[in-house]
Amino acid sequence: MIDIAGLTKTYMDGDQKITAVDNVTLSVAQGEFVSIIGHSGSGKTTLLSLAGGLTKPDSGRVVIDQTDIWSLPDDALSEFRNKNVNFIFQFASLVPTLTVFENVMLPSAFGSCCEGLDEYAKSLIEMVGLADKMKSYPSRLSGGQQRRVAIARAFVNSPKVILADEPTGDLDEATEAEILDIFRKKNADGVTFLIVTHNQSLASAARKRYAMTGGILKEL
Amino acid sequence: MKKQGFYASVVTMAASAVLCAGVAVSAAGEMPKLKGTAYIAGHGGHLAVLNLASGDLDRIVVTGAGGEIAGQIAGLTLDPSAKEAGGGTHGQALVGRNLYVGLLNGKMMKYNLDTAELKDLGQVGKKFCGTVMGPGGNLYCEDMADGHVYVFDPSKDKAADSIPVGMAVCGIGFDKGDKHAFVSDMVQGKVFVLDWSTKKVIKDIPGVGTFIHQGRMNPAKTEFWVTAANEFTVEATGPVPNSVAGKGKAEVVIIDVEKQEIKSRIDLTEDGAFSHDLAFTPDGKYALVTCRTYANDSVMLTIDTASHEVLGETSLCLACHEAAGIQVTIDQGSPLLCGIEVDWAK
Amino acid sequence: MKKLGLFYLAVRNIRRKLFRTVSIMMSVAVVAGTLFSATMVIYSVKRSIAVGTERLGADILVVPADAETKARGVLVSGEPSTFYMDRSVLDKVKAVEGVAQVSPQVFIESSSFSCCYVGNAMLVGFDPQTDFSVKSWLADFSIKEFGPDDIIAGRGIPTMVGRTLKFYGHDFNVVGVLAQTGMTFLDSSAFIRMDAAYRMAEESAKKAVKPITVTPDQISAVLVKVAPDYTPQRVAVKINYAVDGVKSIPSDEVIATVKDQLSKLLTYLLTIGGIVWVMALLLIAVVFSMIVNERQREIGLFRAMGAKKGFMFKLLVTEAALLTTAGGVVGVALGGIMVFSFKNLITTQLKVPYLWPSTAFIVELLAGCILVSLVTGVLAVLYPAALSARMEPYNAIRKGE
Repeated sequence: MIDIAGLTKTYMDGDQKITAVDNVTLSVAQGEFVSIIGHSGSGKTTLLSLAGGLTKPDSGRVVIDQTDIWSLPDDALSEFRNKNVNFIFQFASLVPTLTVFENVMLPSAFGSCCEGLDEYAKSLIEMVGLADKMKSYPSRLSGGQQRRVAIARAFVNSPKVILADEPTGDLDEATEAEILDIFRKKNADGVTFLIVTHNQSLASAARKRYAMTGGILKEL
Repeated sequence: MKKQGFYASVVTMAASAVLCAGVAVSAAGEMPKLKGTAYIAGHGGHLAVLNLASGDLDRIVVTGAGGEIAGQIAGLTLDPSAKEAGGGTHGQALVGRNLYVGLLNGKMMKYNLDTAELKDLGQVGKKFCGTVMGPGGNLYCEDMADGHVYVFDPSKDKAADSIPVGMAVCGIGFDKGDKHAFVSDMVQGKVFVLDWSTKKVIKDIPGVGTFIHQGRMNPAKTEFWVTAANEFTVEATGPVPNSVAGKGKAEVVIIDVEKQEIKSRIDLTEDGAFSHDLAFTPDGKYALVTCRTYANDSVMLTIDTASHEVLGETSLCLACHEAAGIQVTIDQGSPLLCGIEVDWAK
Repeated sequence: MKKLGLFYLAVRNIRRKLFRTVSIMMSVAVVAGTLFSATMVIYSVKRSIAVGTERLGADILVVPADAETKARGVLVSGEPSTFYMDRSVLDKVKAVEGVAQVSPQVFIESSSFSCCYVGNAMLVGFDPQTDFSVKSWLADFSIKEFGPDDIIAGRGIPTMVGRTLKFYGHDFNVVGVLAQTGMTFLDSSAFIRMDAAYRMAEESAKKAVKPITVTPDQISAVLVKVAPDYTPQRVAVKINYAVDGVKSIPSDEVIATVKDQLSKLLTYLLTIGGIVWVMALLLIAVVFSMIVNERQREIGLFRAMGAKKGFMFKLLVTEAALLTTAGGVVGVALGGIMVFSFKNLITTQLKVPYLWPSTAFIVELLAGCILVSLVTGVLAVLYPAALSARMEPYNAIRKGE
């Protein structure tokens, strides 16, 4: 499903050249649940962004569902993301002027819409336990609730791949457990997960685990 | 009308007498010894007064300063940075002992040379260029804003007519018997020929220059001399300065009055003299051509009308300005003189 | 539910910061309002002058030399005024080269009217034998013969056809009411036959409270039509020269005077408008640059969810266009209210006539002003919008953190 080969990304910090991702090779099969653990600054978020087409690598390839994503022009890459990949970030990332329902529907603004999407969006909101908050604005929600809305949104375009960056970052254990439960359900439906975290319990939920240190990826 | 005719006759007779008595013609190539008083109008609002015999300079203050390229000429803005002309003298004609001075704001002033009384005769035109004595003892004032020739009756001190001719007319001359009038148009660079009985344009003589000024008929009424300093080329997009780029020729262009065509040209480019107006000596042998230098002075060239040779140059501003400590603040600091009128009797 | 669209997102974004939104809108509103009101005023005055002078039908108005200022006042601002000169002027003017037709008129002030209507108006007596001005209006009223007791009223006089107006004890039958011209001289005047005016004056000693003293050898003005080959300006010079004690005013000179007055006002208003426009442009550009900066993470997020560069560009342009168009609408509304409310103040202060433009012109002007507002927004936001579109999603998300 995801084939990463020889992926390298460097950036300049003043005069110093930093290698954020160093010749990483990784293969994730369809329906797999893979976690990458590492400290802050280990390069795991950069790796996720490279894999999701958010930042261009210096070298290497990322093939998702048989598409070499970095060979696509920018608009095609955006379209590819809209149809196949979605992200869960460590911040809540909701648009403050849109309701919970509208936030979940947001990816539909950037691509084609399908019949019954609003019903599906509502079911996702119910799935994350916020059925009664459908018309609420983010400012009326707690941090955990906001995170759950972002998770519901991540599934609205029925992505084949979810790339999650510290999805349970600053949440309490109960919420974390609920979110993990949702991930497991969606994984069981065939969605491929690549999660980067420094949370051991979340990482251990994955069937395949990797560790990242100084931009180098190692399987655990 | 009879009175104006009388004045004209007196002036002509007096001029003829002075010609015989006062003008001692020198050998070819040398400056002639002339007697008379030249009055030369200027943007500074005063007239330079030159004693032709002694070379002494004086001045008569008529109004405040104003430049002709300030504001608009024939609807064209020549120098957007210059303010609208406030005053500035541009041409004058002598009627008896009264000097009628046309201003750049279209007003007419009357200055009595004996009593030094200055009288504002009010608004007559829009922006005067030349003021010339002509048929009927009237003054003919060319307007460079509306292209009309204003006929001013000095016996009534009133405008009698306003004849539409061109776009920015500047000088006028009449042939024998006043059958035709020749009028120079500044921005069109041509001379219009008018049937004077109908006051209608019957012909134009193109190609006189790109930016021409005043013109005068010689005493024999065979040649109409036009000053063509060609500081600008007026194009569809507006006027393009020539003087800055040094492209334009500064000339005096001679029109054959009978053939109504250009006869010859006197190139003054090498003299650095941008011709603006001229006066003929009563015998027609010499032309006194007022020229701008666009430096710190304006000058008068004495030209032999037969050989077209420039015989000499007389400074018109510097001596007076330096003595009085005058700093020119308009027209990029250059004193710009315009029309000339000579009193050959004094 | 319909798919979330670019327009919907833009509208939602505008609501984020009310003060900022209102500030941008108001800055554009000032520009649009200035443009609208200035153009309305200038066009209205020009139209009024054009309609009025066409109605007057004369190329030149000859008046007593010492009454030139009064006469101009009558023509331009309709200040009622009376002045008289000897009737012999008429023949002298007629004899001047370039004069094709002449017709005398006599002005009588309305402030001395005995009854019924008192206002800033004039009674104008014309000569039916020589008239070429009023005659052209008669055709509009299908009047073949203008009787000695007939009167045509300007729009400003509260009467209607078939009624009677009493002046100085004399009854006149209203046979026509002129259409609005905006020129007070025409709108607030009533036109009668000259012989009737003199007769009325003669009888006023007996009939009116305050008699008038104008006699048949006195006229107020001579209306002149010039011959085809002559310009009004030239003939005016000739009349002034040939006839002592008069001043000829070419109609186009009156227009030029008003245009001159207006051009000063226009320059002033356009300078202010220009400065405000540049300031509005800068303000919008700066505010939207700030918005792009503030929304970096959101921009990154949108891009991560599949928004194309073009979408991000269009989103910001739409926001700015919506804001400035709304500002334009508010501006023209306020400008319109001001112009309509202060019309009288404008005409008194500027001493100019005023005639509302046609509906079509107002609609075009409204559309034009709103378009200018829209263009202002689009121009101002081009750079910030390009900036937002060019952002790399990952960098946008990280910088926004």
